[in-house]
Formats: sequence, structure tokens, C-alpha cells
Amino acid sequence: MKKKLFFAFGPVLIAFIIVACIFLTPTKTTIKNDHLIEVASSSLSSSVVQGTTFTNSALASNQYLPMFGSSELKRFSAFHPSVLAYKYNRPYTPFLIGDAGTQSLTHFSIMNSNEKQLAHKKMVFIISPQWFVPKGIKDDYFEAHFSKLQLYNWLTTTQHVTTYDQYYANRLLQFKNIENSAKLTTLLEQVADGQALSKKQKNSLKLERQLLDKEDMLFGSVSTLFDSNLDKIHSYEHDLPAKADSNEWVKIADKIGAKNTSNNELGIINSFYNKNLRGHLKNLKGKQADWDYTKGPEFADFQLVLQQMAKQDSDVLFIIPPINEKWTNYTGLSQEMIQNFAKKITLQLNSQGFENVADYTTNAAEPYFMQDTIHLGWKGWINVDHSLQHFLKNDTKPTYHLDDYYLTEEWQQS
Amino acid sequence: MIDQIPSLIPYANPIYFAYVLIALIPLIAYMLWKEKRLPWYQSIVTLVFLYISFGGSSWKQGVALILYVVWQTVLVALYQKYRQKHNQSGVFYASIILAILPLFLTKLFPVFDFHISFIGFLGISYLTFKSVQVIIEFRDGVLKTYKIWDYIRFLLFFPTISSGPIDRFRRFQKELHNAPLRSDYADLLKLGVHRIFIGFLYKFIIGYYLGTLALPHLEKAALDGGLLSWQMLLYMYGYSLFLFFDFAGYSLFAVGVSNLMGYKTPMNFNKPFASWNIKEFWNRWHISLSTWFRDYVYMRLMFLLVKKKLFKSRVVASNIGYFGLFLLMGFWHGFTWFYILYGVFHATAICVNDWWLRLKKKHKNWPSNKWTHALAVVVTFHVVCASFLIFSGILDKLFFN
Repeated sequence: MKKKLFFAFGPVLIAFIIVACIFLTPTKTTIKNDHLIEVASSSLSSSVVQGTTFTNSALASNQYLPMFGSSELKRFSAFHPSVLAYKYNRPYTPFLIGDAGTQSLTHFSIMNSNEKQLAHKKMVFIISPQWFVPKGIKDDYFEAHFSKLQLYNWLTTTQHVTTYDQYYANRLLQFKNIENSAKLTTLLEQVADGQALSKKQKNSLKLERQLLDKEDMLFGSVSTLFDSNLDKIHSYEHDLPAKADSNEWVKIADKIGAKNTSNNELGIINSFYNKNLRGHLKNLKGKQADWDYTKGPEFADFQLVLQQMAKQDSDVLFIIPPINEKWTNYTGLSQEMIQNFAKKITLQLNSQGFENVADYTTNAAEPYFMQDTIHLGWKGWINVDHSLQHFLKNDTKPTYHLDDYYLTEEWQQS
Repeated sequence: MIDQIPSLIPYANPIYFAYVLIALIPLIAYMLWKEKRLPWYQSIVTLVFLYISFGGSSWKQGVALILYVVWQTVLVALYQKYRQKHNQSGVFYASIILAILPLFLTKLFPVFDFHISFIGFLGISYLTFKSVQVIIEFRDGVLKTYKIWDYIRFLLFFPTISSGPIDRFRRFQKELHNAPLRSDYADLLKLGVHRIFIGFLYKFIIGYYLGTLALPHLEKAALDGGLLSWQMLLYMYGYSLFLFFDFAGYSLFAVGVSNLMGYKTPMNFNKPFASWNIKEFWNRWHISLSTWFRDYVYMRLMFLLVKKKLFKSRVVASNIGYFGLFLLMGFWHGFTWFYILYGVFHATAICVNDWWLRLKKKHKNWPSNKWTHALAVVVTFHVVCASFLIFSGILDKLFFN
């Protein structure tokens, strides 16, 4: 009888022991495999956005240049920064961080979890005007990129609660998936009230964080391999001339652009047009006339990112892409409004010491600057490369002077 | 205190098993020691796990579940009372319709983009099978007495509540009142643990790699490639295997946990992809569902058609029966064109299969060896995969989005 029961529950016991050994031993979670990190750098995989292992491991070396952004990073073409870096053996490889729907809050969370590795480094941040809708980031987008691991990192490392921490806690409490968790709600309400977590609270979170850390390390790698974009990137290298030459590039961009946007009058890449617009284009005519990107919580969320950059002493190149003018003429979206947006965000940046701003919103009418409606295209990326090379050569250290005013409701609505 | 109780979908997260195991330790120990069941403790465990699944943020589902159980117990009680003295078909059909009504409404509302959150809950389809079955057995006269608590415990048996397997009431009731002998129970425990571990392999490892990692890429490639492309073929294989490993893994959990509690809930899968024809496939795939449809829909429909002599030919009657069965199964999955097409596809396949078997019977000299058997398995596998491709809904995305 005893033997029978031993054989029945022995495996359960062994399983518990193995799991405990794997998850509870406090070893470092870094990845040593260079190839895996290289795959991750252009994978835009969820383990890059929601985990910490890859970003930590990659940024520990100086080979990678972090580029924060959103869906445009996914749209590879000949002049995409990753393709250019490989083709011309640049001294850096872009480490792309973002996904469709990653906005300021997500980027804050990622940066905060990697602040040691990002400290004193150069990086690129692409600000999309369409993030700045009146209600800020949508629940779905937030939830899709929400990372418990990163949140726990923030909660366990916050010593003294600042206005920024309070703002962040309050902001998080507005999302459904946070609201649904009684535990997170309690913790965040405490921070929102200005109270840092107690030692005991932190210790219990640290244990859970360790579990999440191990999970990220063990399972992030495989999912990232599935998301590899290296083949795609290398295939685009064939479009480029052997020597980097801007005039030559522009000619090629015109040629590729013309060929790839042939099935519509709006300067939109054929595949995007077929997939997203053909059929219901008529319903969109004039429909975006009253859209506004100049007011809303995203301005304060973005301030949170700026605060994090200042804290870790990053040197940042900001890029503001335009929105395709042929498209906005059709939908009625106001280019003047986009100009106002660019002015407002540039003011927020410059007044606090963030001087490297490449604002392309005046290039909206340039053919093949955009790949479709809102995503940078062939010529757009060529321009980005110019700004980037200039930025990388420039060695003057920025000095930041943050102003909490940019967190206020008044600024959000001004 | 109640805030601290986690809310978890059954079997969706490995930690759920740790909770189950801890909760079951007293029950297992007592049954091994006394060879008796511990009904009150089992009820408490059931309530706790129902709360975990239907409390917290999904409390509306919990309310729906309670309303549903009240509805079904009252309905069955009334029908049983009536059936003691009368046996009119009209009343019987009305009871069946009332039993199906909540499910029907939850399936219908999304079609009109209309949502009432107090009707639907996770597992409603499976509970409906249980209640309809009991009404039919009262009608048949196989069931006579109605023990309301037995019935409620049958409905709410928590290991199988979210997605089956669909147990039979009389089988369950017998076990409910008889605990297994110590040595049988020890064997059952070993089997249960084994099944749960195989389930881990199926659902959390193979199912995860296929479903979470590979399928999104395969789907994207298939949508770009179009209907007749090798990418679509790859997606078809990927989706079919995922469907099997995910669902079979889930079923193993449900059966395994039942075993730990001393119940022999029937198995749901038996190497379905080794089937050599469609009929065999349905004997091996989602077995508790197909036998339910066979016993309570197909056989009865056939009986009706033959008795009333609506069709002279048995073959025609049987084919009509198949279409009735599989159309119903299609609608049960959801009121969407591709589920219904999935039903029609399988009905057609099984009619063709019958025709082929009749043809083969006439030609006794046709070859039949291990090679023809292998060919049959391959053909069956592809027919099944094609049906799952319809079932996956990818065609809806391809044609209408």
C-alpha cells in the first residue's frame, strides 16, 4: 500500500522540488548567447517589451543603441535603421523596443526596469503624434504590453515616493486590468497616497519578482526566436548600394517608393492599402476633421518618460514623424493641428533641456517620406539616419531641469 | 479576507493545480483511511473552487451560474413530478426547450451584438448537456427518483465544470454513494497523477508552443498566402494539432482531478489521429460529446424517422440523422457560418464514409492490408484537418476582413 502511494505521489513531490530549485535559487538572469541577443534586438518580441532579461543583457554591452518607438519599428524596408546598420557595418546595432500600441506609459515602465543599463547612454525615442488622443492610451493597448515584472521592479526599488511616482500610481489605477487585481490596487493606492512600501511588503514582492524573472529568462528566449526578423532585414540589404551615398539613396527610395505605392493615389504601400483600406476607404473621407492630438493625459505620461531619462542621465534623440499629407487631405485630419502638437511637445522638451529633436512634421507632403498613413517610409528613414549620425557624433552632454508643471492637468489641457 | 482569494480560470495556470492538490489532501487521506467519502468536505472544496473560477472579477458569471442551477433544478423537479403520472410528448419537448433556453440565448445574443451578462458563464454548454440528459432519462423511465442534492452535485462537479468531459448522471450517482476500496483508490490516484502530468505536457508545453508561439505567425503567413497556399496547409496542421493538444490536455486534467477525488470520469480522447475513417474518428475525438449526440440525438432521430416511416430507405434516414446531429453540433459551437459549415462538412464526410463502406462490402476482392490501412489513416487525418481549418475561423478572416 505504502509503495503504491509512494509511486503515485513521488512524481508530484519531485516536480515540486525541481520547480522550487529552478525558481527560487537566486542566480543572475542574463543571457550569454550573443546570437540570441542579436535576434532579440530586431525581434520587437513581447519578451523585449514585457521582460527585462533581453534588454538588460543587450544594453550591458555598448554594441546596442536602444531605439524606443511603436509600430513604425516593425515595418522593415531598405532604409530602416536596422538594415542600414547591418549593410554598412555601423559601430552600433539598433535595439528596437516597442510594438503597435506601446506609448509613454509602457516606455516608462521598460526604461525604469533597465535604468542601470541605460544610464549615461545615447538613445533614440520616436514620438508618434497619434498617441496624444484626448483620452490617452487605450485600455487594450495598455493591457497588451503590461508587465507585472516591470511593475514589481518599480514598486520594490522606489525608496521615497515623488510626485512622479504618485502620478504614475494614480495613472495605473485607471486601467481595467489593474482595477481587477485587488492586490495591485491596494499597493498602488498606498503609493498614490505618498507612502513607499514597507520592507515586509517589498520582500514578499521580491519573491514573486524572482519567480517572474526566472520565467522571463527561461521562456523569453524561445518566443523571441519565433519572432526573428533577421532574414527579412538581410533581404532588404540587397536594395542598397555598396557604398553609403545619400544622393544614391534618394534615387533608390524614389524608385522603390513609386513601385510599392502603385495601386492608390494616397502614397500608401500597396499591401497596407489592400489589407486595411481597400473597400472601406469611402467611409473615411473627411471623417478625421475634428481629431485632436494637442490635449490629453499622454502629455503627462510623456513627462514621466522624460523624468526617467533625466534620472538615468540619458542623451536622447527625439524623432517626431509626420502624417502623410495626401492621406490627411482625404480624411480631413488637420495638418495645422499636427503643427500645434509638434510645437507643444517641442516646448515641453526644449524647456527642460532636451535639445535633440528631429521634427519632421513639415515633411508631410514629401513623396515616399511615409510608407503609409502614419508610418515612416523610405525617405523618412533616410532623414532619420542623417539626424542619427549627426546625433551620434555630437558629444556635448545635456543638462536637464525638470518642471513638474508638465504633469499637471493644466498643461495636459493647454 | 475574501479579497485574498485568487480568481483563476480552471486549469489555465499551473498554480491552480497546487491549490487543487492542497485542497484535496484531507479528502484523499480520509478516503484512504476510512474507505468512505467525505461529502461535506467535498462540498466545501467545490464551493471554494467555484468561487475561485466565478468570483472576483467574474462575479457576474457566478450570479449567472447560480441562476442557471436554480432554473435547471426546478425544471427537472417539475418534470419528474409530472412524469410520475403522465407522459405527454408536448410536455417533454417543452421541458427540453426550457432546459436549452439559457444556452440558446447566450449563443444567440452575440449574433445581434446584444449582451446580458447575467445569462452566460464559462461551461454553460456542458451543464446543458447534463440537464438535458437527465430530463430525457426521466422520460425514458430509466430514472425514477429525483434526489435534488445528487443532481446539483452532478451539475457542479468542479473538475469538469468548465469544459467537460460530459459525465452520465447514473454513473456519477453510483460513485457518489460508493467510495472506492483502498487498493483501487491507490491505483486511481496513481492514474490521476499520471494523467495530470501528461496533461501538462500536452497543454502547457506542446499546446503552448503551438498555440501561443507558432500559431500567430502561421496565421499571419496563411492570411498573406491565401486559401490555396502551402502556408495555409501549414496553418491547418498547426491549428489541428494545437486543438488536439490543448483540448486533450484540458480533458486529462479534468479526468485526472476527478480520479484524485475518487471518481472515474470517462476519458474524452483516444488517439483520434490514428482513426482510419470518420466514424472511427468520432469514436475517438471528444468522445463524451459524440456519444452524447449519438445516444440522445442521432439514435432518437433515427428511431423517430424509422418508426414514422418517413423514409423508405434506411440509408436515407441514417444520412438525414447525421445531418441533424452535426448541424446541431455546429450550432452548439456557435451561431456562426463557419461552425455550421463545419457541421455540414462532417455530416457529408460521414455519409460518404458510409457509402464507401457499403461499396467495399460489395467488392470483397478489393485489397485490404497494412498499406491500405495507412492510406486510410492519412486520408482521414487530412479530412479532419480540413474540417478544423473551417472550424478555426481563419476563412472568415480571409474572406470577410
